[in-house]
Amino acid sequence: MTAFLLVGSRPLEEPERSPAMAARDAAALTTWHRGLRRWGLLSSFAVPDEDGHGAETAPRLCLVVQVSGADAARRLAARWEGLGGYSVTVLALREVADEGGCAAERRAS
Amino acid sequence: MTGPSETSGPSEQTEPKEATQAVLGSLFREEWPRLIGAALRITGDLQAAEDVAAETLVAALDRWPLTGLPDRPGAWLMTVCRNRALNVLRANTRARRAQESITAAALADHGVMTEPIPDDRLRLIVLCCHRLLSLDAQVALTLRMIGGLTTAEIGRGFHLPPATIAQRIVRAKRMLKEHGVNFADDDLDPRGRLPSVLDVIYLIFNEGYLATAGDSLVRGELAFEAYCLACLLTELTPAEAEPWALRALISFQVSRWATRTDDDGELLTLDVQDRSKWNTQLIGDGVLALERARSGGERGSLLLQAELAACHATAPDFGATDWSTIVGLYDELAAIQDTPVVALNRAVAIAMRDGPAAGIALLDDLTGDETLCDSHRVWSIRADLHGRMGNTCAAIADYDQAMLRVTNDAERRHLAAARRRLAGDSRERQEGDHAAR
Repeated sequence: MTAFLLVGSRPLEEPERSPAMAARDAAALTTWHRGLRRWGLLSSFAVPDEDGHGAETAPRLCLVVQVSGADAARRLAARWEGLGGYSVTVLALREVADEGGCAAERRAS
Repeated sequence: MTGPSETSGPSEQTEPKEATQAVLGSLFREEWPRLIGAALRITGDLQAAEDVAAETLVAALDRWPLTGLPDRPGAWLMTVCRNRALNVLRANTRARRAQESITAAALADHGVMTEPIPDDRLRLIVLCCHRLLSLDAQVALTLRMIGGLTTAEIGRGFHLPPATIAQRIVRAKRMLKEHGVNFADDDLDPRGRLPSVLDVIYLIFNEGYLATAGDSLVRGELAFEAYCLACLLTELTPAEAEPWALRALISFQVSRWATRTDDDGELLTLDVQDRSKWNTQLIGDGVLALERARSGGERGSLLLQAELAACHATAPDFGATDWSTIVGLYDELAAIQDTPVVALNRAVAIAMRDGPAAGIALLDDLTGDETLCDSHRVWSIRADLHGRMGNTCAAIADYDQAMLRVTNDAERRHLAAARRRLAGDSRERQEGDHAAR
C-alpha cells in the first residue's frame, strides 16, 4: 500500500448553492468519507480553520490515503471531485529516511 | 489549516445517506435566513451577507463530513458566520482606510461578539418585501434570501431564465442600498408590514399551485416553498391571525397535491380525485392553523379563503361537500373583496347547490367582464355547466372559447379531452337517432 496526499481546493468563484444542495453534497461526502474509513483507506486528514482565515485560497482539505497505487488514488480523487465541487490534486508520499519524515512528490494532478 | 493528524474522527455514524441529507437539509434551510440576518446586521450589505452565509455552509460542507456534526450545529454555523462577517467588515474598513475604522477590539467592546443573537428572520422577510421593490423583485429576493433557492431554481419555478432572476435580485439589492434602507433600524416593529409579506407568499403559492404557463400544472418547489414561508411567518408572529389563515389555506390546498394530476400529468378535478391519497397530516395542520386564525376575531379575505378550502379538504367525499356553507362564505368574501374572480367562484358554488342553470345565469354576466375576458376559466366553467344541462352545441362553443385563452398546457389538454368527449357523445346520439329513424 502506498500513501497519497489528496488536496481538495475550491474554485475562487463558488457556484451558487442552496441549503438543500449543500445538505445533499454534505450527506454524499459523509457517506464517502465513512466508506474510506471502513475500508481502512483514510490515514489522516486536515480541515480548514473554522474562522476561515486563508480558506478563500486553495487548498481547503487534505486527505492522506493508503491505496494500492497511483491509479487507485486518482480514482478516489475523481470520485471526491464529483461529490463536493472540489478540484483535487494527487501527490504521492514517500519515506525519506535521511530526513526522518515524509516528503511529497508531485506525481499527478 | 488545522486538523487531527490521525484518523480519529467522529464516531462511526450508521444512518443512511438519505437520513443525513434530511437532517442537514432541514438544519441548513432553517439556519439560512438566520445566518443572512446575522451577517447583514454586521456588514450592513445584503450581497456581503449572502456571500458570508454561503461561505458558512461551504465551511460546514468542508468540515462536517470528516469531523462529524458539532454538538450544537446551529450555534457552530452562527459563530462561523459572524466571525466571517466581522472579517468582511474589517477588510472593508481597512479598504476604506477610514480613521474611525472599527477595530477588532472596538467590535468586541461594542458587544457584537458577546450579545445574544437577535432573531432577525422576520426583519429580513420584511426587508425582502420592501415597498421600494416591485412585486417580482420581492418574490425573487424572498425566495433567495429566506428560502435559500438558487436563481436557477427560482427561474425554473417561474419559467424564466436564471439570468433574469439574477438581474432582479441584483437590482433589488442595489435599490435597497441606494435608498439607504438600513436593516437594523429601518422599522422597529416590522409586523406593520405583514400585509406585503403575505401578498408575496400568496403569490408564490398561487404560481406554484396553479402554474399560469408552461407544460406543468403544478410546481412543487414553489408551492412547498410558500408553505414553508407561511409556517415560518406563523412561528415568528404567533399572535397575528392573518399568517395563520394563510398557512391554513396553503396546508389545505397542498394536501391535495398528489391527486391533482394523474400519472400522465393530466388535470384531475375535485370530483374525481382519490381522497384517500390526500395528505391528512397537512389537513390536520390546516385545521389547527384555521383555529388559530379564527381566534383573531376579524374575518378577512385570507381567513374566508381558508374556510372555503377547509370545506373541500374535510368533506369525506365530493357528494358530501357542503355547498350551502360554501355559497355563504363566498357571499361573505364578495362583501369585502368584490372581484370578478370571487363572483366566478361563487357562481360555481351556486351551480353546485341549486343546479347548473342557476350558475349559467350568473356566468353570462361575467363573460363580458374586462378582468375575465382574457381568462379561460369563465368559458370552461360555462362549458361544463352547459354540458351538464345537455346543451352540447353551447358547451362545445364555450370550450372553443376557453381553449383560445388557456395558457397552461395541462389545462389545455384537459379542455380538449372534455370537448372531445362531449362531441363524441353528441355524434353517438345523432347516429343512434338516425339509426332509430
